[in-house]
Amino acid sequence: MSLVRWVANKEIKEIIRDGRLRLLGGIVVVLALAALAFGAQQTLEALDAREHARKRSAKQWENQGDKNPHVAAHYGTHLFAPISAVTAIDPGISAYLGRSVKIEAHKRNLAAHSSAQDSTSLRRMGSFSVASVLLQLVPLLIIALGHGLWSRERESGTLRQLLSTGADRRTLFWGKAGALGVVIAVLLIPAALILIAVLWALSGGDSATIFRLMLLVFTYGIYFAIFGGLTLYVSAINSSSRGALVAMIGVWGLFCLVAPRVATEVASAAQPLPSQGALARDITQSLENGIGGKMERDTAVEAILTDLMAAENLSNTGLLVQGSQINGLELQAEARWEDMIYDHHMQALDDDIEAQEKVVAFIGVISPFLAMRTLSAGLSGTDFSHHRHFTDQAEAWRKKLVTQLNKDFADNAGYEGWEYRAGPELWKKIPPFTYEAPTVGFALQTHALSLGILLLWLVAAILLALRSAQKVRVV
Amino acid sequence: MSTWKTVFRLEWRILKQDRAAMGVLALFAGFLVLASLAGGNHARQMAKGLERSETEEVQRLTTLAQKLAKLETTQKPLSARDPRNAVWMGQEGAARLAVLPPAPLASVAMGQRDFRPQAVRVTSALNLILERETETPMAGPTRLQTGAFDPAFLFVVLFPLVIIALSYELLSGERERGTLAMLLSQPVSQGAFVLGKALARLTALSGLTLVFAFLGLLIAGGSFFQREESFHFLLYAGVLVGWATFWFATAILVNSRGGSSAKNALVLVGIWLVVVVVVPGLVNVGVDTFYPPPSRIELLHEAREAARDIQKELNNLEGRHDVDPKAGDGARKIIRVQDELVKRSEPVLKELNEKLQERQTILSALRFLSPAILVQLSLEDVAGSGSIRHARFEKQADSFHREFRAFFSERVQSGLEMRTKDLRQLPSFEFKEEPTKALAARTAVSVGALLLLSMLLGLGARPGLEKVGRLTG
Repeated sequence: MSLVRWVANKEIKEIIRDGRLRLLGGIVVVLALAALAFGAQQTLEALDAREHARKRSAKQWENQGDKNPHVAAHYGTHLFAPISAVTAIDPGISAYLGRSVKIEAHKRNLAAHSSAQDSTSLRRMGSFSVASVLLQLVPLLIIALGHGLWSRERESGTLRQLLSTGADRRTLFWGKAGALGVVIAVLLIPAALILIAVLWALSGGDSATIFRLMLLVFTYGIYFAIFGGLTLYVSAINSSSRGALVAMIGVWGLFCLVAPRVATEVASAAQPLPSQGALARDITQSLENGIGGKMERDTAVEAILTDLMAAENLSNTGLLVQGSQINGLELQAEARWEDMIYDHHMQALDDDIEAQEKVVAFIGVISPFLAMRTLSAGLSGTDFSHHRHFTDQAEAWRKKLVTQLNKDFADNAGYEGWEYRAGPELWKKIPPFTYEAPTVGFALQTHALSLGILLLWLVAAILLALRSAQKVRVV
Repeated sequence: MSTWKTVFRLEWRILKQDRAAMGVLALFAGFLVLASLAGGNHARQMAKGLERSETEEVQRLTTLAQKLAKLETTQKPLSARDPRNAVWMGQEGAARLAVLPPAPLASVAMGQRDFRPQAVRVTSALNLILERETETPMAGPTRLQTGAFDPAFLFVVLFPLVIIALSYELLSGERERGTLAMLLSQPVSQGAFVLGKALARLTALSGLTLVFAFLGLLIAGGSFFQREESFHFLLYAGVLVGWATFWFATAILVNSRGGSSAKNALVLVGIWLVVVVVVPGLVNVGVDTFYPPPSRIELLHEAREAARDIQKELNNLEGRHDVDPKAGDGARKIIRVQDELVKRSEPVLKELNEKLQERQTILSALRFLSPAILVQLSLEDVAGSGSIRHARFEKQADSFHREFRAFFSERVQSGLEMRTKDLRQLPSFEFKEEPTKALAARTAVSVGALLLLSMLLGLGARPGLEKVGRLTG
């Protein structure tokens, strides 16, 4: 048996013998499984509620009766944000984002009805998900298991004996690190297998979900290794186990409790967001006078209408054009103007939120927790970039819907004008909204910074732990 | 009493010499100053935003009054944004703000302030599912998920860790250093010795914390010259001292079991984890599972379906660009149809309110499951950012919305144009605070529960402290 394995075996035996650590490990695994059960139940319920709401919305749309197509555009419908099966592991910020978008003529609405909207104060105090167990509790378990790996050996005097046998410090280090890794893996691998099985059942085992899951396993592995390395480092440099434990709990508190709040405060101060009221007023102003007050609505709509008429070869037809055709084209011109204004303001708002997210991701430099949390939500599809991907597609569909309805008005109203009524055959002809979810490459590209920061932390933690092992004091 | 005093003095001297303990205290004080700055900044931003909106309202109404006075003397036909047009005035021109004023200790806890509206723009528009246009800055989703870096966070989450750092080795440390045998050879019992040490540290920490909490509030821009503000600070201080007492009592209990310092630290951190993270998480899960929040989108669908014919009529009126929805017959019809829609959606609104109220009642009962929940909710309550004050505001804003709508509805229905005297009679909103006594009673229950729990923990430690076990580590 190699010396590394021999040291690892000895450490594993010591950890297993300690009843408190067995208990702690058991508690963390039970909590992870309970969180998974809760996450799966919530995800199933959310999927069910979404499907129900979607069908109800579609039914309302199809059964709205006979009416003018533009009136139908005013009536509108709702689109619902997709729910990925991986939400059962990491709900990310999805609870704080609107889950449905009201689709109607003349305006682009913000996504509304977030599940946190009616939540209690406890939601932020104790979020309970597999991700929160992995992000917060498993590092604590690593600290509890590993804080005495060097210091306890020194306190009991066995370190001096070991080194006097000619054992290399580097060998001892890899043995101890291996033991810590094996214990954590033994505790978490069965839980991970259960987790994969549950998600397989939820998503029907599609390859995209499995790929995202594998990446999550890989990145969480890096995250745990960072805490393992830092714990070994602190254990080596501290004179007592007690001191190592207290110091590591302090580091954990700074990483997992203080840094996230400080980061979001900095992000909010760096990129403040407007109030909904102020945003609505800005949009109204721009609709009247153009962006930055550069062009009045009537002039702009007139210019768009001229272009539209030219495109339809109606420019020089004078009185031969039916009034309803002009009405329909006017509506289309108005819609284009409104779309341009809304796109400008909504994109600015989304850019501001994304800038906040970037600041938080960047502050991951001082806390691997932040980097991992960002990456975890990204890989689970529960971050802001995935949400924006959905709202952009929803908006593209809204524009198509309004254009199609206005076009029907222009083409078919004839002399009936505003008295013209379309019926269910038109409502059913509208192609349903089908959301194309982004690939995992999109998530990796968006969160490359967090992945890079996590890898940097890994290298730093391993180097620190190795260096401290070389210099570990014997007494 | 004199023995306690001696132990107390001795401990105070030791604490002053302990660089690690002083370091932890200094770090916490530093964080507290930063959190107070951040909390103050939020409160100030909020207050400034509200002030701006209120100034805008005053200017807008003044301009409208001047315009109206001029137009009253002429016979000009109604234009698009005409202050004589009751429809436009109700929908936009004469919109009024319903403001929830910041409470005296607003900087202490963000609470529900970033979730729930602090100022609502009230117009005659429909509000079928209590979706309000808010005048307070939006918060990014990650910020909402994480919560604010405010004093409440520090006190609920980090403060216990500071107490653990100062108390995990109350007895075990003396044993491990070999000083316990010498100390117990003096005329002092083990129980009195540990209690004296704990009291010295509790007094020092509480004193320091209250000073910094007070300074923090001053930094945040608070003033304490008024009776109400001083009284709120007293409630705040009561919660903090109760919370600190609970943690020192827990540390005494853990120390009385005779374990090593490392074991005590581990056990105390475990208790912290259960009290501050796990139980609140489980309570949240329990409330969400058994009393889920009502689905607003489902309620919206229900409201739509309950009033399908009316909704269709409304869409026909609003969606036709050849009918002016802001004047004449078109406007009158729209108001009549909207009134009917409001009537039909009332049961849905009632259901939403009942469900939200039910969740709040359950949470209120479950707060006793963890002292951390008790402290969090009490701090939010004292800072005026808790759910009770917000629910009160939303209820008042809702009834103001009804009053405002009725004011314009009456004028549109009777075809009357707005006059200067109407503008003077425009309904206005003023938030009515609950009596201070009610807040004091709720806080007293929380502090009483914390002290009772501390006493029980102390009693639990007694048998262990009476028994003198090993004298060396």
